[in-house]
Amino acid sequence: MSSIIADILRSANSIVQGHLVTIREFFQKPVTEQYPDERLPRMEGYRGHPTLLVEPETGRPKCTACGACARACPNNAIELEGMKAEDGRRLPAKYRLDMTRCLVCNLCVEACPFDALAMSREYELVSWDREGLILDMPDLLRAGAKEQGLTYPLPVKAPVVEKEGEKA
Amino acid sequence: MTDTMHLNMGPQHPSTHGVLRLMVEVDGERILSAKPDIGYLHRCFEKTAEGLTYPQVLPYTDRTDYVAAMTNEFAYVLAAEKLLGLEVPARAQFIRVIMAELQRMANHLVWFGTFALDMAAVTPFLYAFRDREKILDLFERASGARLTYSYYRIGGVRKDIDAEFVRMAREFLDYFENQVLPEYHRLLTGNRIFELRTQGTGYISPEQVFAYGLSGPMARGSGVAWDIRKNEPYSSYDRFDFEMALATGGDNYARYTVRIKEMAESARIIRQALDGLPEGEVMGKVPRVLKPPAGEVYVRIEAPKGELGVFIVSDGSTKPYRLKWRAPSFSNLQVTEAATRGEKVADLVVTVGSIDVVLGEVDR
Ligand code: SF4
Ligand code: SF4
Repeated sequence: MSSIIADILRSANSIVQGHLVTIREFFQKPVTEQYPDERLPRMEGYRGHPTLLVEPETGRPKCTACGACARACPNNAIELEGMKAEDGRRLPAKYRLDMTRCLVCNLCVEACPFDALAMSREYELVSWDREGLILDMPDLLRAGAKEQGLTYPLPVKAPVVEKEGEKA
Repeated sequence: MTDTMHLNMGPQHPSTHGVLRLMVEVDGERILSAKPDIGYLHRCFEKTAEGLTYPQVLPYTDRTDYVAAMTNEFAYVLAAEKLLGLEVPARAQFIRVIMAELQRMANHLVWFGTFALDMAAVTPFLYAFRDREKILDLFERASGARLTYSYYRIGGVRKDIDAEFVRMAREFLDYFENQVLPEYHRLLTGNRIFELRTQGTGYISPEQVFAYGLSGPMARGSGVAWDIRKNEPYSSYDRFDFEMALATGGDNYARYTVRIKEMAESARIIRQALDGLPEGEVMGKVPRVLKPPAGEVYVRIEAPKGELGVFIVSDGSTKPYRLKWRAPSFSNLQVTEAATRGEKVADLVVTVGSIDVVLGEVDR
């Protein structure tokens, strides 16, 4: 009989103890953030999606369409074609990133021998449809320039990139 | 002779973990049998790996046990390095241990929260996720991602950790040891209702541990002293001083105490690794194209859930000929039927919770 009473008292005490822990929380700052009104700052080096960087002098992509990133990608998320610009430098004619396949693994950035790729700090990578997740060269350059602190297209007079060139 | 009833628990049941389906046969409240039915999350990881080069497999390993992605990468890179005969710099080894132990804490926090939630205690779940968030911040700082890190590399790690990371990690450890653990003990450990639900339920004998090939906290909760970090130290685990968390009860409560103790021990290991962090490179000398000689390796590590083994057969090409992933929760899940036979239905939820299954790993 006394053991039953002791057990009841212990049970009651454990409930009180639990509530004491939670009551303490009333007097502390809430840890939740009211997204999307409040947004947490991203950590340095946060990886969003791969982007193409631009040459600040010419406004052209740094990419030379060597294809190393596409070969390194585990999911074939990158599709690209090269061409020759008027001054003989190789440039991508088409560069398409399929974000429905991308694993955000950073392997393409590491594979690029020209440091032409970087990960963005974007984390709201959502879209209403699949097409919105397929990023073409202008999208990627715009995002890349943003990471560099620039706005694409750059106000410099660049050699015409869209012109029909030699295919790779 | 009463009729028995067949119950389907899952794959969409709120209290099973992920997409686990349990086919339960009950006689009133008593469980006659509980058979796990798996495969709802099968994504052909092992087959896919055969079509990928060695570095390309890495991001996929993140997605097997997504609650503990760091330790998956750890096992895979160790296997690939053994196959290639690569040396890993001391600093990278220490960083790997720090990340693996942080991951163990994060994994056990998720487990702690969901285990309590299985017993209808909602508060510990929210607390555990609040504290896990701090570990994810650390991971984000180091690797740039919060769930699928892609941080380890064959030959080292992707990026060095900086002074700010070390400061944040120390701050977290202080917070964890002085605030979090005592709070958890007050919330659950001495709680009478919790004790009544967990003590004596889901009993697993040491013989069953061997018969079912259980590992990790499942084995140590039954008094089987088996921790690969101790028994077969890999990476730099032989340089750290820590205790193997052990309990002899064999019931759900014993497994709870093992995991809580393990979190404290992980914190100890991380402290030692942060103090003794050697200077130097974080990436060893790695050839541009990874082409291991023909042969096979098996590497196992102590993942948060148990023994995680990676078996790779190489035919001398740049892609693995065969990759086998020995997932701890897959083996541990087998014991469900033996551990719950004859118990009440309500205890089934608790016992399955104590196994700590992640279906991404079971189905792969
Ligand atoms: S981040 Fe990974 S998956 Fe995405 S494009 Fe680059 S290599 Fe491919
Ligand atoms: S690896 Fe770099 S330079 Fe080569 S195609 Fe990719 S982005 Fe362009």
